[in-house]
Amino acid sequence: MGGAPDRPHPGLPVNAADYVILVGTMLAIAAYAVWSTRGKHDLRAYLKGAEGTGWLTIGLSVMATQASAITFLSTPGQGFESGLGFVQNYFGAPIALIIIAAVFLPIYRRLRVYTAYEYLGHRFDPKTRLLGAGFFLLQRGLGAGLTIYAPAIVLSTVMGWRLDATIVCSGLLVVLYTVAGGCDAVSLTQKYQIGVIFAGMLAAFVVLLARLPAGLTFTDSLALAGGFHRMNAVDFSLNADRRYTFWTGTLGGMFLALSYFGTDQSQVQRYLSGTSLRESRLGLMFNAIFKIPMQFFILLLGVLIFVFYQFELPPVVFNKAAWDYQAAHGSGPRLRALESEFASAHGEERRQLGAWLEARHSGNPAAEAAAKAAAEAAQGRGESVREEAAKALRAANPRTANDSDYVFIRFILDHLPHGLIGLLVTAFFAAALSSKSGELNALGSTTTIDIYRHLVRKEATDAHYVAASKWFTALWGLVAIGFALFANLAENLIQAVNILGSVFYGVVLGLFLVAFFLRRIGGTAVFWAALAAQALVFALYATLPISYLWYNVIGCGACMAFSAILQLAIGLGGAKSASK
Amino acid sequence: MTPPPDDEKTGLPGLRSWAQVYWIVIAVFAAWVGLLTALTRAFP
Repeated sequence: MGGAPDRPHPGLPVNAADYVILVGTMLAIAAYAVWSTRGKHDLRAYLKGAEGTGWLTIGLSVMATQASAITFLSTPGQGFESGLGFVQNYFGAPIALIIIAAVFLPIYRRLRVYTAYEYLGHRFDPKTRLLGAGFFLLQRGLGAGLTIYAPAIVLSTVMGWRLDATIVCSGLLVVLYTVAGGCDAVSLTQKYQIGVIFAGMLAAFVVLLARLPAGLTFTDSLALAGGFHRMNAVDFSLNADRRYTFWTGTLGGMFLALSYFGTDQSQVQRYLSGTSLRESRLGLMFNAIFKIPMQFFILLLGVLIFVFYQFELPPVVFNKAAWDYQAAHGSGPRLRALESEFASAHGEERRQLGAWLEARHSGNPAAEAAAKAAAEAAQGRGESVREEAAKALRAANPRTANDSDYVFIRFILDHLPHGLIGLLVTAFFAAALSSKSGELNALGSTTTIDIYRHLVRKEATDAHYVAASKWFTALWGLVAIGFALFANLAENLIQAVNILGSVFYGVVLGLFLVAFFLRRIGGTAVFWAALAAQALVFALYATLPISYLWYNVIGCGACMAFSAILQLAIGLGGAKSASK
Repeated sequence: MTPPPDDEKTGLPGLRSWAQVYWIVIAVFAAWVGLLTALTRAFP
């Protein structure tokens, strides 16, 4: 089996080379965004891009907007903690993207809308347009805060930076370059940012494989992970309490993806920038094909980190800064006792895994099963210690993020060589910037087009609206930074983002599906139905312990059903606006 | 509501209509679910 790999640089998180890579890349991206889009005062070019964007840029831009820093920081931790099951969350995406490409996209392009909510105004009436835009601004405004907060809390902790300074600095950087660059800059820079991200993740994967113990083959690693229930990628059970199953992922995930990719302006804006319908459709199909393998690969990385730490003693908790702080502030004896108990359990587990591997290679199933059972028991003891320690740290500081969010960054800092550390930290910041810029760009556009131009200033020059959009983008950036400064999360970060989306997305999707498919329903019925459906989702979320993915289905179904009932009550004659 | 004819061309070799492209995507999705199910069963 060989010895556990040595830590290349204990106690030294990042060096000058890492900082040069991080700061150099971030500033180069921001400068490129500003330079490439300088002097644009045409509203269409600023909000929708120059309409010369090819399918690959659109595909990567859609992917980069969706895959934030949380995806790359937190998802490996999810794989480490719970295995591959989270991949089912994305099963609905391919079907949803096909529906969007076939139905939503041709209508958006035909009407030449700037925002998805403009379409609601065409189809229904101004108040329904405002409702759709309002739901988006509320949900995405909070979401943008989360995408600033989430990477900031993890990166500030491990790098030893101040949390508030990290939030403000990263927030202001993205505000500056999004305000200056507009839609074109967002799409262009996202293409390079996602390149940095993929390079970083691939490098981490290769290094991880190289650092697995000698004698442990890739198949052995998967078998070991399977023995600890980390390889359950697909679960066909119908148990409604389970958060991720084939059914929640395919049905609930399809509604979530349909709403997110089809009606969330941060995504709609990305694919409306295509040269033609063909380019936009191919960009979406690119994501329909590569979304599941990408998420699988990131989760597998987490699973392999789990395997790695079965042979290498991990920290009791991965949030080392919180551990060190508590150890130095009165909890030292208790934490040292937990550490010793954890090391003892890990040592026993490692010994049993050695016996398991030997029995497996010599073809002795009875010895293999016995060693596996003993290793599982030891691992269970270690997990109890970890949980106790994490609970103690969280009780001392509620702003401590879920410990699984620190797994990947801790592994990177402890086991990757300098230079590669810089590349990975750069990748996280690139991911943070790419998704934040897409969100802020969309928030600014929606406020300008659906609120300001629609209600406040109906006739003005393009330069005026571009300036207004820049101000609104900056304002939303400041709101997001403010929200991030006061955020506090108990959930694993990647799940928190999906939960927030699921609470709002179902109803918004319901609005659009009524618009597309229930032609006899008018604005008044759908408006009140959407409000009632949103109230129902809030009430159910507060009281019903079901997978959050179901709220996408419930919100959408309730909005459509209530609309039909209300329209019948009003009388089908009241649906004249439907034919607009 | 009908898109212009040029938009109906996929520009992809062997795939003349968008319906064919969508079926390919669904087939890839089914293949992924099949592979992941096999992986789950191979390493219980």
